[in-house]
Amino acid sequence: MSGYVVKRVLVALALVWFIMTLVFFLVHSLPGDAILAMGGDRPETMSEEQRAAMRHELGLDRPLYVQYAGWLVHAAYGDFGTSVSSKRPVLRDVLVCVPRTLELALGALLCGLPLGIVAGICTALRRNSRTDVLVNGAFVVVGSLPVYISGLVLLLVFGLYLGWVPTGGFVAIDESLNAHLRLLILPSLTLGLWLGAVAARMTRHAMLEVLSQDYIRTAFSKGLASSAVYYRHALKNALIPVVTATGLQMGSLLGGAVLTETVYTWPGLGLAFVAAVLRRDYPVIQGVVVITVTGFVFTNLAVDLLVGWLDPRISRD
Amino acid sequence: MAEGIKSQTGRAAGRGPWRDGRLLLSGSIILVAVAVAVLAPLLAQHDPYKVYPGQVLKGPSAQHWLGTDELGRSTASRLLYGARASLQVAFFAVVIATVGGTGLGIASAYYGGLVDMVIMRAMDMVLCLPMMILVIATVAFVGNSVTNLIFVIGILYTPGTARIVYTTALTIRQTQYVQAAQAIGAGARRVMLRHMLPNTIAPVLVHISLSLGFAILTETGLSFLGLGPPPPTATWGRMIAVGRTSVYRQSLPLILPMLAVSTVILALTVLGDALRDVLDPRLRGSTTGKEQQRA
Repeated sequence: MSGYVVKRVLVALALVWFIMTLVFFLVHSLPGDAILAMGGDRPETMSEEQRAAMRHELGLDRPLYVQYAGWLVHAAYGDFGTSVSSKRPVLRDVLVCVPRTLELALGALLCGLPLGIVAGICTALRRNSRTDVLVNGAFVVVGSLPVYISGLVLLLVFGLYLGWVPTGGFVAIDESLNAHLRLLILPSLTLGLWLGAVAARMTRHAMLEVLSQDYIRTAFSKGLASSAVYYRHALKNALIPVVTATGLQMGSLLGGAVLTETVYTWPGLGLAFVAAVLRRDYPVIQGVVVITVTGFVFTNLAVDLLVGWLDPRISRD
Repeated sequence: MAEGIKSQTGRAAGRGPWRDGRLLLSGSIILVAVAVAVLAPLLAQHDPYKVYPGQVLKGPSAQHWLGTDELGRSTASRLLYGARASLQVAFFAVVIATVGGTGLGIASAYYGGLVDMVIMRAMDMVLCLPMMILVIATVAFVGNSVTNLIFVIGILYTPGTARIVYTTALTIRQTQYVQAAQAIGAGARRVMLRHMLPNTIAPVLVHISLSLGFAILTETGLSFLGLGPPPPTATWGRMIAVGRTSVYRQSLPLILPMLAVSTVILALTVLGDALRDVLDPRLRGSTTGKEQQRA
């Protein structure tokens, strides 16, 4: 087991190294002036000597492999340079946004998982009934719509026409917890509905698979009440693939968070990322990509190890 | 095997895949969308870039059937041209992903060993990363012209296709007819092109349909974020992003592109599901296949 964990950690580290390398070469594929602009000055107003001095200062006159090694070392220590627009260290700017995106992800899990699992169980137990077809169809629609469209629909209906919740913005959590959470409702619901659709499909599928197993028939034939069979015997085993599948959706959840945060102007990682891209603030782009991917890779690793621990049958190749 | 799949598909046709309403409905929607994209210049009543002064955010009228947007441009024309941008990017990106992914998948499965390990490990690495973040980051560096979008999405979608082709190709590699072909002296090229390629078509078709949906999602998502094809190009994503700022005065420039994106994406999802039921004989006999057909 420990050998397996070490191997998985090494693979995760290799992924992080891969993305750091990719980012390095993407930055160096930029035209020279754009790299100079990462120092925060306007290269087009500089003289040739100033540019040369600047290149020297930023280390751009050093051989590529020296620059590459420097980037890896700095990035490993969390030093991604200074944001061109805010003039603050990138790490600080990015870390401010991380908890807000985590809140959104947690909100989505809290809305989506219970909804999806309950819907999945109901449709599996009433398989091919009218409820099954309707609920299933509804989830196919919700699950395939882009989050910015479902988000806008929720925003228009509950924010604009009914006026139940604010349509966007941000209030810090220490300013007013109530206002903060109210702003979080619609974004969480938007992502949660999508996640719920995935969970519902998985739960239904897994429940049907488990219910066709021999031990379920045995449980019925020894006279157990159907509720005991369904919830004690079937559900426990059916939920494992659901956990795995939900864990695997974290990448899409991140992508969805970028769009959801933009729809509701929720100032998390996604909004910061898009703003940085629109402003061509390359140090921030680098920082967000490396930090996000690192977090994502290790979350996936944790989910995998957790599932392996929950269900020893899952082979560790 | 090729014959086998053909005859089984044929049998399915006998049972009437076209009577499966989903295939007919979703297929027609896609065809209409493609026709609109191709024929946009003929169908559009007005130039989508022409500004009609004094006609800002108007409702439907005889001159502008679906009203005008925040700059006084015809919403109907922009909607038609928007189909062009989205479908063009999605189509060519999926072509790149399909050609690249099929080639890499079949080559990995055929050669095995080191080639297999290097290619498939690299593909798995990309598949492990959050796709949307990767797409946005790459577009940030290489720029957001239509051509760049096609290449970025196409290349980043290649590993997904490669995985699917690889799994199928690996089983085909072990079949007796491939061994027989090799025994009578068929070379690598012949085995890969004549024996392995045709037998991977069914899963690839299903995957194409689903990835077209994802590619459209990605393109419209990027456009919505302001990272799609630069203005004034009419794209559905940008229309939605801009339309929401003036929804208080006129909702058509927001609602119509939202409907357009949703319809096309739903149609592609349903088409993918329906195609899988018709083309994948292994799933058809199983419980899931049956349920999907009934649902």
